[in-house]
Amino acid sequence: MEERNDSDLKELFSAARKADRTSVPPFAKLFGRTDRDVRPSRARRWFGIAALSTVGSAVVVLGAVWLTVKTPVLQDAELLPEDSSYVVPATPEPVESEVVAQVQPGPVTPALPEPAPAQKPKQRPKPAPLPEPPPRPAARNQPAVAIAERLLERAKREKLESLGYTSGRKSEQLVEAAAERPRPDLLAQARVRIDGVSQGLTIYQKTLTLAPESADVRTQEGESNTEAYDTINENVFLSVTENPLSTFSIDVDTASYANVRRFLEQGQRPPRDAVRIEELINYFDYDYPEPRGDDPFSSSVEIADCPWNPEHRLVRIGLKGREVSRHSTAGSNLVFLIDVSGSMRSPMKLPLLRSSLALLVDGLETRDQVAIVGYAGSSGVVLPSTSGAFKDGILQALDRLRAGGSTNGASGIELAYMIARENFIRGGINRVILATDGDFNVGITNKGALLGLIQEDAREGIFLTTLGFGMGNYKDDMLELLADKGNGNYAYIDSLKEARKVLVEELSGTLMTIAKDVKIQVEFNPAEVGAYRLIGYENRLLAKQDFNDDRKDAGEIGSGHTVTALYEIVPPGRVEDLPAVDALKYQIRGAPSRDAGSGEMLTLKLRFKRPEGRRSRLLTFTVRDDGRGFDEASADFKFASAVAAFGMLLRESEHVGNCTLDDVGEWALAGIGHDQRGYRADFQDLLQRAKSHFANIR
Amino acid sequence: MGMNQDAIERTLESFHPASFGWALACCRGNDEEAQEVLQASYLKVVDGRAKFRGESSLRTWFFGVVKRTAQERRRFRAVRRMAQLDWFRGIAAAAPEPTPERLSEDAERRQQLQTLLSRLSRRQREVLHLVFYQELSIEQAGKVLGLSVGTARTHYERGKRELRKLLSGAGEGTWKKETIAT
Repeated sequence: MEERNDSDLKELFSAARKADRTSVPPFAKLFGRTDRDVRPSRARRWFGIAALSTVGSAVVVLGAVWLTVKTPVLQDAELLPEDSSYVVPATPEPVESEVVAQVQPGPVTPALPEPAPAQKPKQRPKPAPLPEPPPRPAARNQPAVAIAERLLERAKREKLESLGYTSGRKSEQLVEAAAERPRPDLLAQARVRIDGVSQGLTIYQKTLTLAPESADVRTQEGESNTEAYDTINENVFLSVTENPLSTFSIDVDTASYANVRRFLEQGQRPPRDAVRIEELINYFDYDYPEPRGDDPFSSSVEIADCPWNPEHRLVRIGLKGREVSRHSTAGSNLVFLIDVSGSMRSPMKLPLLRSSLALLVDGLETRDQVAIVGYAGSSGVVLPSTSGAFKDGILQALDRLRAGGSTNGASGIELAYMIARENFIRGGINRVILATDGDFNVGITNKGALLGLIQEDAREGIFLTTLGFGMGNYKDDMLELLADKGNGNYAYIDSLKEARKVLVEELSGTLMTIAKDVKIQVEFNPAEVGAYRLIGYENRLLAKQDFNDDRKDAGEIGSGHTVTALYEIVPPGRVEDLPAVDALKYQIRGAPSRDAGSGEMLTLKLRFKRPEGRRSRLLTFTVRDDGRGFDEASADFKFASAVAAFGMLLRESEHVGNCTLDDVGEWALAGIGHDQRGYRADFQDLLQRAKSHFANIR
Repeated sequence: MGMNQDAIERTLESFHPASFGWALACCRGNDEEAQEVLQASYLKVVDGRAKFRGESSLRTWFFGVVKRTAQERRRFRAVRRMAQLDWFRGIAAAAPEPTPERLSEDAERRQQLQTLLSRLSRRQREVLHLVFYQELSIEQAGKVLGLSVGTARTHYERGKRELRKLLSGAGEGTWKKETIAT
């Protein structure tokens, strides 16, 4: 009753909030005024008080009138053209005299330590990193090097600020102006000044590192192929008597498929470790039954002949997450964390990212909140948390993103999480979406601290989605790890079509986690299974005791997601090919229990937690083999096995037998099913491409 | 929490609209006054007169700063008013004029809420705003206002009751008329 009663008040207040939002003055207007604006207003106040207490009411009237009409003054200061601030005297002046000239005996604010010419109207009076201006004689004694260093320091700061990243004080004018004309003039002037002060000193060389052209050089070096992939050791066949239990975490990532496709379309063979078979399989949707009751997902198992080795059987385990409409949640609080470092400049990166996120923004609603944080050498808020009602504003902010500078992903991540925490929506989707080519010049000092931060926030309900872009110095391993620790998912975006798939069609799956820490444990019956091999999921394997350990992190499943895992099974009579282990001397293993004779092939156990839950639930199913051949299998089964075989061919797996790309094409065609969005048909194109380029892939 | 000045500034920027809403609430919906209060509050953060020690969330802390700033300015305004001789004429602080360009339905309801809230006590008004408008918990609202949870809850419950009473009263009068007119 309490709840029902309050909804009217909530609604009333939220209407008021909406009305207020239309008239919010820009942040920059109220924040980050120079002390030049401030000092008069303060002086005015002091003066007003003094006048009040000493002169009497006549003066007070005047003071009050004065106070009431002070706003226009502030606005004038706001509009001060920034050009004036950048004007640097053509001839360098001795630094000492500048400093002294700036010292003001004002009673309220301490003297500004900065030399006048470079002072900017928007500079807030934060304690500058420069030392306090020393008294005149000391300044004269100061070595020229130190002065030059200070100037250099400031030149660097201004350069970064002119690009719009350092201060976060996103005076829009500053960003736009900087975007329109980067300030080589400023740099040149800074250089001239440094020259004047410290002729012949090596400092001059340092200024070169600030010059934009040298940044380009670094970028190009970065573009040479330094992509990083974790080594994958393919799972081998395990004997059921030795290892009756197989335990792994689910994985809904799809990045590997798009990445492989990118390689093939460029006519390159993807590196073996870039091929994660489970991600290839899970790229596609499968027609699994909807979950029943209040289970967050359904599970189904199908067993048929293994197409690449008819002696073997293939077990397909399928999970399907419940479709939950995004409209049933309390709204989304999304923080985009966008890499704007120099390496993002290629058209396949930042521009593609911009248009991809524009697609996502289109689907937002009024109660959704979006913030954008850009990160490069340092990071800044490009867009404060803004309602989805103001699509134009969000899109404009996206358009303002420009690439330049080096990468410092970590401080950006801290900032993004901080914003996500401050704008947390209870009962809604709270997520940081990291878009990058994966290049972290990690500044949070180490990877462990970064992962710790992400994990901690994941526990509080802020999850992480990583979107990989571009190529060259793509850090696949890092992005997957981050998403894994952040209870999120990881997708690779190589085209606008892929962006549409991930950010529009599967948006609710991408953003809405319906079960977390989903673990699968399969117990095989030695009477029915001789040996087994899990296909893919190599970096998701868990120890058998981890299954019941709720502290062990595992994968998440999103709304409508399907997850597929395949086991290749060797029947009991055909295990002679496997390397044998000597019989144990002191114990007898593998004595069958009563249930071994039940005819069941395996028992499937699933554990999961609700998104906000801390304790897991267990689901158990027993499965029998109905002995069907590959031809009788479902379309989904055929297609999934075709994709698996394709992955194994790319990885040059020893387990793939004599199968060829033609076989794969045939199975995939047999398994094309409904294919409403045409992804399975696209797979055929990809096969053709692989075949025409690579004679060495069979 | 080792938050540096830059991070604080950027975080402030991220919830700037909410802060503005709170400033408005502290200034009885007076837009100009709210802008000045917010500006002065930001300035306090910048020049270090207000220092975030990480004892609560940045938002709760900053809202406290805004509230105190509004209070200071109110006192100062009392002096100003006296100077303008309003005080001698016995004119109470004029309720803020609705800005004419706001015509949307939301704006109308906002105006409505504003008038109703102005009849509640300051504490009640503030707690209600923090809980319903800013969606803080009662405990957080108490932190902003420097009240214990129990006190905050009392103000919250009473405020709700009062507001409802006013709402039902208003429903028969002005509210209805306005809806017919649209």
